[in-house]
Order: sequence, then C-alpha cells, then structure tokens
Amino acid sequence: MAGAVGIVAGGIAGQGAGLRSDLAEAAAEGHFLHRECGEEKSKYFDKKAMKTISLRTNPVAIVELRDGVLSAIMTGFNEPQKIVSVPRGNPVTFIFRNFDDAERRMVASLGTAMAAGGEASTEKEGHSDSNETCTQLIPRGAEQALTVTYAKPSIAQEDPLTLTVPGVSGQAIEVVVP
Amino acid sequence: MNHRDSNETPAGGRLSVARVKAHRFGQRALVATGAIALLGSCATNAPQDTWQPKGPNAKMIDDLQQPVFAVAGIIGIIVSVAIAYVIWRYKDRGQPIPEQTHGKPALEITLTVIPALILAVVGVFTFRVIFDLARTDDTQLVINVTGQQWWWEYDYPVQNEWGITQPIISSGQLVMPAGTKVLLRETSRDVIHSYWIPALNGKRDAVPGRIHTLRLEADEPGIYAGQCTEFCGLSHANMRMEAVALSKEDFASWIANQQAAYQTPAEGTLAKEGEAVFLNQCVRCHQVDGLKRPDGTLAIAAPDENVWSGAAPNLTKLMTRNTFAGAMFDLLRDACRDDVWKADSAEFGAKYLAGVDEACLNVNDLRAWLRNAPEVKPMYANPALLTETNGKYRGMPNLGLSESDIDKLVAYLLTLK
Repeated sequence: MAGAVGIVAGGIAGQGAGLRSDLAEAAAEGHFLHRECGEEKSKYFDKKAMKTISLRTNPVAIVELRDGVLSAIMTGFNEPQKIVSVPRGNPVTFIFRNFDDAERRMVASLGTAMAAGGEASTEKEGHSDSNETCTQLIPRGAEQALTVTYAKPSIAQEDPLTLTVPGVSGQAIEVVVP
Repeated sequence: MNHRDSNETPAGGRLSVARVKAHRFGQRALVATGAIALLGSCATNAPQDTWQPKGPNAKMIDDLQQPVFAVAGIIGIIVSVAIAYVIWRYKDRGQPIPEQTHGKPALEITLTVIPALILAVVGVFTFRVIFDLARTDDTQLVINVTGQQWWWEYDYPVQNEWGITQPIISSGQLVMPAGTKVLLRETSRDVIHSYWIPALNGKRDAVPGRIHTLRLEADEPGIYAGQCTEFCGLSHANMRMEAVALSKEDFASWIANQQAAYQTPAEGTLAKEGEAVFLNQCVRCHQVDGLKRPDGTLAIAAPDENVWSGAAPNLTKLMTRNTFAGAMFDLLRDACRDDVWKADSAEFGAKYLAGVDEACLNVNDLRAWLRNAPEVKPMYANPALLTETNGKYRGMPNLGLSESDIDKLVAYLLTLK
C-alpha cells in the first residue's frame, strides 16, 4: 500500500518537474529533424541517450571506425565486410560506433535516383536538401543508430551508395541494394 | 410409439433422450478423433511433416521432441487411464460417502518433485538445442530473406567464395547448396511473417525493422516445402516457400546462370513483342535485370511507387524457378513437377537446373494469373479499397491485359532463364 502511494506521489511530483530543460530546448529546435551532415544546427543533442540504443540488437550492420579503418560487422559473416547488402524499399538500421579520438559522424549517401515524390528515403523527409543523411557527431566510444530506406536499387544510381565518415579518407562501406 | 417415447423413463423422458443423444455424440466424436489420428499418421506424401527431418538442424529438434513426446505420451496415458479407472471404480452407486481426509504431504511432495525433475531434464536438453540452433559463427553461406504480403524475396549478398560477385535476387524458391551451413538473415517489409521449412529447421519470425537469423542445412539435394506460419493477412495460407538444395557443383552452375547477362529476344518474335508489353505494363513493379528500354536506358522497376510493401518479385531468370505468385502456383505441369520432385539425389540437380520450357510450362495457371491475378489469389488489389495505402496495391492488380498481350507475355517470360 505504501509502495503504491509512493509510486503515485512520485508520478505527480514528476509531472510538476516537467521536461529537462535541455530536452525542452532541443524539442523546440526540432532536434530530431536535424540530420544535416554539416554543422550541428541544434545546440543540444541528448548525449545521455547515446549509450542506450534500443535498436542495437537487430541492426543490418554495425559500422565501426577503428584505427582509421571503416568496416561493417554483420551477423553470419565471420570477417568485417566492406560491402553491405540491404533489402530495397525497407527501413534498415545501421549502428555507427566511433573508436577514433576525434568526434566523428557517419554519412549515408542516398543516391541520385529518387522515390516517388522526390524522396530517396522516408527518413529524409524534413531534413537537408543534400542527398545524404547522417548521424550526429559522436565522441570516442559512443554509438548512434541511423535508419534509412533505399527505395531504388543500386543499378539505378549514378554512383555507388556508400557509408562514409567525413575526415577519414579512403574508407567507405558500399551499400548494395539489389 | 415414437422415438422419444421409446427412451422415456418414469423419472423424466426428456432427460433420458438427452442422455442418449449425448452418448451417441460422444461415441461419434471418439470415433472421428480416432479416425483423424489414424489417417493423419498414415500420410506418406507429407512434405511439411515435422517428424521427417532432412538436415542436422531439424534432426536436433527431432532428437529433442521424440523423447519428450514419448515421456509426455506415457504420462498422458497413465493419467488418462487413472482418471478413467477412478471414474469407473468410484462412480456413485449409492454407496456411503467414504471417510474424508485432508492432505498427504509425502504424496504431494512426490508428485511435485517428479514433474519438476522431468521438466529440469527436458529443460537442460532444450536449452542446449536452442543455443546450438542460434549459432551463427560457423556459417558458410548467407542469404537475406525478406517477407511481404504474400511472398518471400531471397537475395544473395556478394560472397566471392561462392562465386557470387554481384547480388542475386530471387523469390519463391530458396536455392542453396546441400551439406552447407546456410544462414538466413530474415526481415519483413510490412507485417510479421514467419519462415518455416519443417524438414530443415524450426520456424523464425520475420519482423519489420529487425534482422532475425535462421540456420538451414539439407543433407541431400531435393526440394523441401514450407509455409508462412504467422498470420499475415488475406493470402497468408497462400504464402508458401520451397527450399531447393543442390549439390555444390550444381549450385555453382545455378549461381553462374543467375549472374549471366540478360538476353533480349530475337527481333520479329512473339517473345520480342512480349518484351514490349512487359516494358509497358509489368516493369512498373517487376525488375528484370539487364532489360533495357527502346532508348537504351536500363528499365528500373518502381514498386516503391505502386506497391505498399515497396517491392515486387524480381523476375530475372523466372523460368529457372518452379513456382510463381508466392509459390502458390507451379510453373511446371504436374507430370514435369513430379519428375523433378521425385528425382533421386543424383538426378535431381540436372532436372531442376533444366528449368521450365514450353512443353512443361503450367500455362493455364500462368495465363489465369496474368488475366486477373486477384481472382486466383486473394489480395488487396482493388483500386476502390486503396485509400488506406495511399493508392498502393497489396498484391498484384488486374492489369486488364488482352488475350493477345497475354500470349506475348507468356512467350517473353519463357525466355527468362
């Protein structure tokens, strides 16, 4: 009985406390719409969430930047891969892990061939005009998920679809969409 | 005297008739249940029989379920006989009520400990099998499997050790090498489906946004049938699959053929006219790799613009498969199909790799499908009902093709091998 009263009281008190101020400001900035691959437009992003990714059990691939080398770890493949094959027209989630000393982000090129309505990706809506999407800058040891839908196959693209990390030259994961 | 009168008793005739009816119903139910069990166990042509494992993964499950079933069966018989005996022995015959007792600790503890021990033993072996079936570190070939209403797509990622230098994409039949540890990476484009080839392993759900793995391995070349086992909408019962195991040499031949360049039909043929029909009608959703438009540009299908799931079966090399429409229909006539299915291991590969020719084509079902697909397979393909899907189909619509166009398309599809 006392426990139940405590839970209810805690809930009422929590309601009065409201949203964390940094999250409130991030929400006002449209934080979750920002996937631009340049300067961060949001003052805040939720660093506390970076190590609590609920999607980490079932990504299509885990992309790691380690010792200047970008590689994709995929269940079923015993060796790190440089090519990732993903189903067309289906949301797929990559997890980017940064083991570099500098803050890094992963950029996914979405190709020139667009889906109906000019959107290469359902995740693209409301984002920047450039034909790419990305994680936010994350420090060493952090990870972020990036969900992308490739509507068109690789053969429809002028250039290969890739996952890259700005500032790390000569490294790319090719994304093949059959 | 009528029937009711004949069963009446001084105590109340209607109750007596009801008892007679209940008795007869019980007898019939018992006979029917027994007959079903007996006849069901007599099936010889049961390709989805879980008691006939054809690979090490399914055998692991079978080795577990056989003793568990035996123990459970023996316990079930003992309990049933005991209950029947007690009902018969102690039925109300007007005898005095026996002395009532409460609690027998020794008996109760025994009857708790024995089941607990049995379950503990079963649990140990079950956990071992679960972990063995979840292994992915010994994988030799990876195949991506994507479910959608109501068919399965298979794509083979680049794996140079198998000669797969460019992705291969197929549907309906999963082709794999026999004696090889194959790992399926499953997902779904719309709702939850479940992949199950009973002869090769247990079932695994395909869930949107998640990658689930399932091991498959077939001991011998052959075709192994399966069925979607998670209710997924109108044509769930028609969402079938077949795993085709080939010898490693035959699998290499299959891989090479799947990657072979597209051959356009010769000018002036019916098939060439069919290619034009395909470009006008079918390529809106169906991809044929290498197919070009008259202006020389690659024809890229746009199922993302027309189909709710964002995909439609890739028809490249269609006639190397034995099924179509989510494996609901055979591409082979019955005699030709039986010839492949019943071939022994040594001959199976050659017969399967021969594909479908005009003599063996199940032209009736194929023409019916092209004439009006929703009529032969229930689908949400009625334009009047597409408001919930932004005008996109769930399944193949009726394209209103003329019989002439169907002739041309059939001729064209026959060249895709």
